[in-house]
Amino acid sequence: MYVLDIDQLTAYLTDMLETDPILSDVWVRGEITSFFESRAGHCYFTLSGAGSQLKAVLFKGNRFHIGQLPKVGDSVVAHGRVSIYADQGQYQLYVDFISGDGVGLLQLQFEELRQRLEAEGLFDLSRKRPIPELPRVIGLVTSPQGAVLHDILTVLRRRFPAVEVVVSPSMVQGAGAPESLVSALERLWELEECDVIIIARGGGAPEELAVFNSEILARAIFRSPVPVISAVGHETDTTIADYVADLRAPTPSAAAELVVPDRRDVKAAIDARFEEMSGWMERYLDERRVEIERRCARLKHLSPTREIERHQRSVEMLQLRGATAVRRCIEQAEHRLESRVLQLQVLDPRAVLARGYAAVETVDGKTRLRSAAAASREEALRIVMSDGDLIVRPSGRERA
Amino acid sequence: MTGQQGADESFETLLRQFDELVSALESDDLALDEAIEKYELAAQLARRCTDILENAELRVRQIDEALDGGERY
Repeated sequence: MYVLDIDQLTAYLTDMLETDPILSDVWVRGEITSFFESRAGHCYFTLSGAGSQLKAVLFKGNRFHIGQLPKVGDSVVAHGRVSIYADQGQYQLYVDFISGDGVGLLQLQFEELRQRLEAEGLFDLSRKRPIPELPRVIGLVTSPQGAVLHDILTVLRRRFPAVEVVVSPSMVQGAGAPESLVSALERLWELEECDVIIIARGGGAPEELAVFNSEILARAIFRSPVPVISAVGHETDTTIADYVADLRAPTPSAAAELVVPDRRDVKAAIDARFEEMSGWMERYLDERRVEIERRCARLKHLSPTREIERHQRSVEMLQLRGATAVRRCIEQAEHRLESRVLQLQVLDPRAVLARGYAAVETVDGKTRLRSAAAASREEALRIVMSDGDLIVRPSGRERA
Repeated sequence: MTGQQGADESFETLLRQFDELVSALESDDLALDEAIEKYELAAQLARRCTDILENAELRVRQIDEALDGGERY
């Protein structure tokens, strides 16, 4: 027979309560019948049912989840774990979430999970991965029946059919659906082919869409090796999956629109790039052409033709100079000749006779008489004049 | 991959090659014959990309829990 001391018993009971799957994660509904806030900021209160009471504590550390603190008389729904406050041997609810009973339980559960995951950083913008601009393979987690698959494929066919879609079928509502969605994701990961994954479901009642508010799905999306686009219900439905996904599409069709570009845009971009490249090529060729032309000009400059032409010119110049010199020699000779001729003409005795002078000779014309004395000794004299001779007899001599 | 086109023939790959060629052409100081070769290759790729855009058909397959890979729509 065991005899336990009180500490052992309390530890045993605490362990029992904290490992119980229901008591360790429980929602309770009740009315607040007492409420006390300590100076440290912890809240101690009593939740009452029709015939029983439950002590509850909300530690300061969990208060940031809660908007407004409840007060005595409020009907509330609280979430937490049941455990034992050993000092007083009292079991109580350790609350981590509490809200007025006005809203539905689903909504409360949603809020509680949303706030918890947000606090954990699952929705951080910093961890959102970019969706590839041009995916090759798109993973698609959805129901193999129904309009969603058809809608998505239709949009892809119209918009950008040069991709491959791998459909990983899954339950999208009802019990087991969260697990089914997670394993559908896991099968896509195992393929290691997808560049992006779309997880999609058509519109439905909030209870149906609640599958996408499950924690295991949120955590699976969070650890996906490739970006995930969520596309659940209509634009107004926002699920936990939407918060944690890298991109939220308002509807399944919208997801298909977001995941691929419009092929016309892509074609226009290719055309523009090609045009740009052609322009570049043209400039490139022009540059080469100019270069060639520049070299040709240089080549021309360096050609021997110029040198030959230069020599030709100097030969011509020499020829010209030679000819000029020869001509000048001839001219000078001619000039000298002319002046000799003139000189000769001056010395011509006939020219003297023409000016009216006359020469006196012996009659036989053999001796020229140069003085009157000589002439006076002659019987007759020959007077030579320009137009003929005269024979005359001297009659005497006059004094000079 | 079980597509009609091989992995290296995918649109995305061709487009990337095209982009790389154009960038190389525009940034590098290439020899003339190399530039012409790249230009022609790029033109070819652009044509093939456009051709795929105009004629491609969406490839769809489904994986099941039991069998991995197969089944097409």
